[in-house]
Amino acid sequence: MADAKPKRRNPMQVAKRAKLVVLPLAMVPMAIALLRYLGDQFGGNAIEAFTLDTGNWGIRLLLVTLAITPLRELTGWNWLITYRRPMGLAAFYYLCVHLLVYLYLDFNFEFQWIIPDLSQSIYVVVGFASFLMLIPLALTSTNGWIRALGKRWRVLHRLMYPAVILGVVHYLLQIKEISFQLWFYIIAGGVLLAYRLAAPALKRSGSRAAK
Amino acid sequence: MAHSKRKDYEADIKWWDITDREHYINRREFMRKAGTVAAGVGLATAAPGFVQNAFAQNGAFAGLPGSKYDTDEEQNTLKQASTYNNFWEFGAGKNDPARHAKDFVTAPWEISIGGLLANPVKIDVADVIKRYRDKLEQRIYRMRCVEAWSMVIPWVGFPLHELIKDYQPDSAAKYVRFETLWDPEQMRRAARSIQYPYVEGLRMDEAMNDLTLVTVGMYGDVLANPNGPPIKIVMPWKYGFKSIKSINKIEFVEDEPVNTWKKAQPREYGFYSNVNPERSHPRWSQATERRIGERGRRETLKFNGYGEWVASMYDGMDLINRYY
Repeated sequence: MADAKPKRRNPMQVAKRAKLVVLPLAMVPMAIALLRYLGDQFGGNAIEAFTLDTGNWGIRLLLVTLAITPLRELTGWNWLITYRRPMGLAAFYYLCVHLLVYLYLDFNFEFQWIIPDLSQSIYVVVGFASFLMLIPLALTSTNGWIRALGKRWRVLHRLMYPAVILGVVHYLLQIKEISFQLWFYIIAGGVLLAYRLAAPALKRSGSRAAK
Repeated sequence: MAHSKRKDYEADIKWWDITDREHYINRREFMRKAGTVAAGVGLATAAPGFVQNAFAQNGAFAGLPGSKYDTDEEQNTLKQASTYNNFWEFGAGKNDPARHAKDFVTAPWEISIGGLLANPVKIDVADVIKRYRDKLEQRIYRMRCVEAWSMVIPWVGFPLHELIKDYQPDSAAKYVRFETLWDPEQMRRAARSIQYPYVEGLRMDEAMNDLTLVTVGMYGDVLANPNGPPIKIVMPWKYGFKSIKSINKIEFVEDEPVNTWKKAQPREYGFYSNVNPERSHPRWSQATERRIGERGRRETLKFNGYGEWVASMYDGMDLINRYY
């Protein structure tokens, strides 16, 4: 590959450099949300709007994270892997802010109200469960942990799948009318998870055909 | 250049910024009227735009007396009340009524009052206002939405019992049924998951309760387009969806009306729908509420804090499992 065109850069290195652009880009929605909240541009119920915005970006970035492996396998663009960890961590970051907005702006850390809300609002429980699943994934995202866990790392990180499902259910449970956005989450999430189920079979038949 | 200028105008001037709001709200009627007057036909067919002008000071209903039910909690602003609310005929989003009801034509507006009644009538809302002018008062009520947010809004209206006494329904009438205008032409953005026309109802004693307000204004002015003009009812001890907007039909009936949300999701919404922190919605808690504009939560009060005037109507009723 390298000798065909000596000047052409290794795509993996390009991707790593491009991270300097992509990572700040992933923080743009957060900056916009913060400015809208502080500048009173979030409409009548600003706390709700802030909560919804950070939650939505959390789900979107989780879906982006989930899309990287299938895209990489289908296109052969191995450099995409460079973005999987940063996208996953960005999603986690949005969801941390989402939770903090709920605990602080919404409930002012008043646990005498947060506890009944948790026990009576099923969507809060589901969202919280999803968040709990993501915590070990964020913690074990370092190179050290990846090496230490070996094969078990991949098994552990399958927690992404139930976490995304619960995240979308968390959204579904609180609305009165299914929105276009929710359909998008359901379809995109469904396709990306179906790929995981189908991929082993696809690979097996693919390698058999190659023989 | 000219195009961008126009955009600036649209972005900067919102209808609530315009001082003479009622002319803005009724501008089509105003223009029609202006033409009629110019043609020399005169004011004999006076329409609401002009009748309401009779009240015009700084707003159509400025300077009205208050009531003993007024809360002294801080009021929400007109902007908050008219840009964050539900009016599903104009869309399911909280900001949709403000965006899609801008051109809602509410004058002339005929209401039919019928059902179990000796003399059913059709009456224009302008004549209703004229007839009950002396009974109008400002009521500063808390409004608690089933979605766990609340506001404090100064409404303008008169008690429904005044109207019921005048129209004298038969003794067989046990309930009052209300309908919202359903005009698919004007309501093209209506949310699709409920049926129209929107229906609500009250038991006769609830309808006769002094708190039940036939509402024709807010903040000393006519009802803003997103808030159900030109006439709605407000029951502050019930979740907001009971306070039906833009009414064009009032019927006295024998059987409990099937209200829209109960029909759509009977497990989640009932006929009574009294504010009740002890009964959580199947999907979320009703223990607390967010007062729009505040950080943190307030404890939700049973009957939204109006228990001393309404609780006795529900003595002996299971408000948790049966009559929710």
